[in-house]
Amino acid sequence: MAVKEDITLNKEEVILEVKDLVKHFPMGGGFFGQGKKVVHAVNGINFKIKKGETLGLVGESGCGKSTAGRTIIRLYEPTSGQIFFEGQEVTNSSGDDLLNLRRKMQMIFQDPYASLNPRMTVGDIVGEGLDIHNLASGQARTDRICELLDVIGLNPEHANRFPHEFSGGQRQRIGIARVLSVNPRLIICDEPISALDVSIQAQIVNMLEELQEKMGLTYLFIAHDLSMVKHISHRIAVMYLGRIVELAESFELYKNPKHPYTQALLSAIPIPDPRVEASKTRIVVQGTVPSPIDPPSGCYFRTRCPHAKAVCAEQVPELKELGSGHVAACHLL
Amino acid sequence: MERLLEVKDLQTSFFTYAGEVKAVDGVSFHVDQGEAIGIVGESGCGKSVTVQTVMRLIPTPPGKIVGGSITFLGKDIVNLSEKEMQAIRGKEMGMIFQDPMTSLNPVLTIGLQLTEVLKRHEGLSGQAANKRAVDLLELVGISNPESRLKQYPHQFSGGMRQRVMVAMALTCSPKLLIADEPTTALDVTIQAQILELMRDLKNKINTSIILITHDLGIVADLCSRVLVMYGGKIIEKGSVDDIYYNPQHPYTWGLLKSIPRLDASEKGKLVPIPGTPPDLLNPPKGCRFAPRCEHCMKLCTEQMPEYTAINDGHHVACWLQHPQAPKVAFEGRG
Repeated sequence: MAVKEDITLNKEEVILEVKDLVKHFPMGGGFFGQGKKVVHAVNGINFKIKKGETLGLVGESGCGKSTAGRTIIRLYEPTSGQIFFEGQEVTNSSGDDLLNLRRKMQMIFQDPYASLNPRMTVGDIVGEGLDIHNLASGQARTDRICELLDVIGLNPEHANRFPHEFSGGQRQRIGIARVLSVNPRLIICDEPISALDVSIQAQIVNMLEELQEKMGLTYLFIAHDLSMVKHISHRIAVMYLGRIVELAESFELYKNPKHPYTQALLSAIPIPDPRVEASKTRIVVQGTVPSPIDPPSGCYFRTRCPHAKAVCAEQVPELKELGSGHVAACHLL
Repeated sequence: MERLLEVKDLQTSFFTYAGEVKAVDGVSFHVDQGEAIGIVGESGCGKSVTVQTVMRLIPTPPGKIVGGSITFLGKDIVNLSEKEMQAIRGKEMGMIFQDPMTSLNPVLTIGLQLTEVLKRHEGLSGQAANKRAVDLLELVGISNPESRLKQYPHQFSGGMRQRVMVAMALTCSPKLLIADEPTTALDVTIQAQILELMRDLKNKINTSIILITHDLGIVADLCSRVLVMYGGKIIEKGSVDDIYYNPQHPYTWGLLKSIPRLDASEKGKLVPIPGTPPDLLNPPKGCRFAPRCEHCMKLCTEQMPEYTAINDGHHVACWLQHPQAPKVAFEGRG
């Protein structure tokens, strides 16, 4: 499952590289561990992120996109595979190395209600990173917190308040301020807007884009809302059952989807335009995503694929280069 | 077309310790036989309370229908007793709730939950009810319905459970199907399956649908008319063409401009609506949207705008429609 070396990606430009990353979760049960079942959450994914770009990671629930993000930032220990950050392997870093890695790589979580400690003031939540990494103390710390709150559009007085006093959108801003406090290079955004109202989503997305421009940030943007992912990302990787089935530049992916799953996913999204909707032919894939405990042989999508052939059940399709960085894993290409 | 449901000046309030929350404040709309209408708006704008009031599912206290009328099949149902409502609910009106994980009873089999409705409303006996339940599961596209009937909700996936909910809502072929965010908890490919199913029902058995959603794409896909709600009021209503191609209210503009379109050929900038939805305990005095509106005038903060008719079915509540107001046109996305 190795992707051919991508010539468009210069070595120095790559900030994160993931090679054959696998994460399996053992399930309880089995006699003395025999016949133990395993959840195949992430099954060997490969990708690179360039400095300053946004890579979107999309897929339906249970496809392993969040697990991939959490494994990359080492909240989960990878089962196998390698993670390179700025050219250095960080798959097994620990202690100070790991602390150092987490300063450069940060994460924004999905649920702005659950990811902020209700007993800490906003100032302490934002300042916690500064304390842990010994970046500032005393007046410098206070100044930095005020500066960060200003960046995300809150008042410095808000530092003394508690999370419950804020709306969902404001809480997500606080989560972003916390992330920015340590000046990270790469931010993993795990469904940062899906808990928010539509009008608020645009506020957060615009802010993320402005921050990227100003601070040269790199994002791994994990979400299931393809319209929003397409809007914010430069390139998009589509995941299905723990594997990347297609990766391309976002406009290319939309215009020219190659994998049957990507095609179905794109056609399933209703477009807010009645005339477009009326004239569209929709591919409705039948059935549901198979269980990651016992995934099908060969291509994982074959059980729902309208074009499945015998070879699909026998062999795992490799990612094929289709020109200008567009890769897809399908036997029929 | 036959008028199925007519709601006039409906007001529902919740009386809490902090004061009266006017969740629905003077809402009027109608649904004709066989048509699908959409209600859109942000969370807390009163969409769900509106349809729950129509179903008379508002917990009383603290909730109360303060005023207005709901005429369903020619009969005012605001003052019906709970017993009379039970004869209508499930039989003439079916409802699909947002969360398929919590709206099924986890300790009863799917079969029992489905046949309960049939036994109650149609007076069917065990065997006949079972047979109908099998047919219904087949209708909503669940394979092996006989064995599925004996299973419990946890043995079904989210999409399958939502299908069971649809089957349940359809048990007595209701004239009106109310779907409150039916696909929000589902994946897009499953959402497409459920929407396809609802479209089929509308076309095949002429069911009327009220669809509540915050996704303007789903409305464009399924509905012929749209109500846009904000702060407990309908601020604009019209056909889908009116709302998507000729929107008049700045809030509708905001909704349309704040979402990215998958089919956009170049990357435009999203235009968010600044601020947050109003607190209905202390709603703004004039137009509810005035504090977030970029075209806000002095009058807007003082007086509630009346409805202006743009065409036969297209109504908007905005002071910009006043002859003396400055002319502002919808620019589309930036």
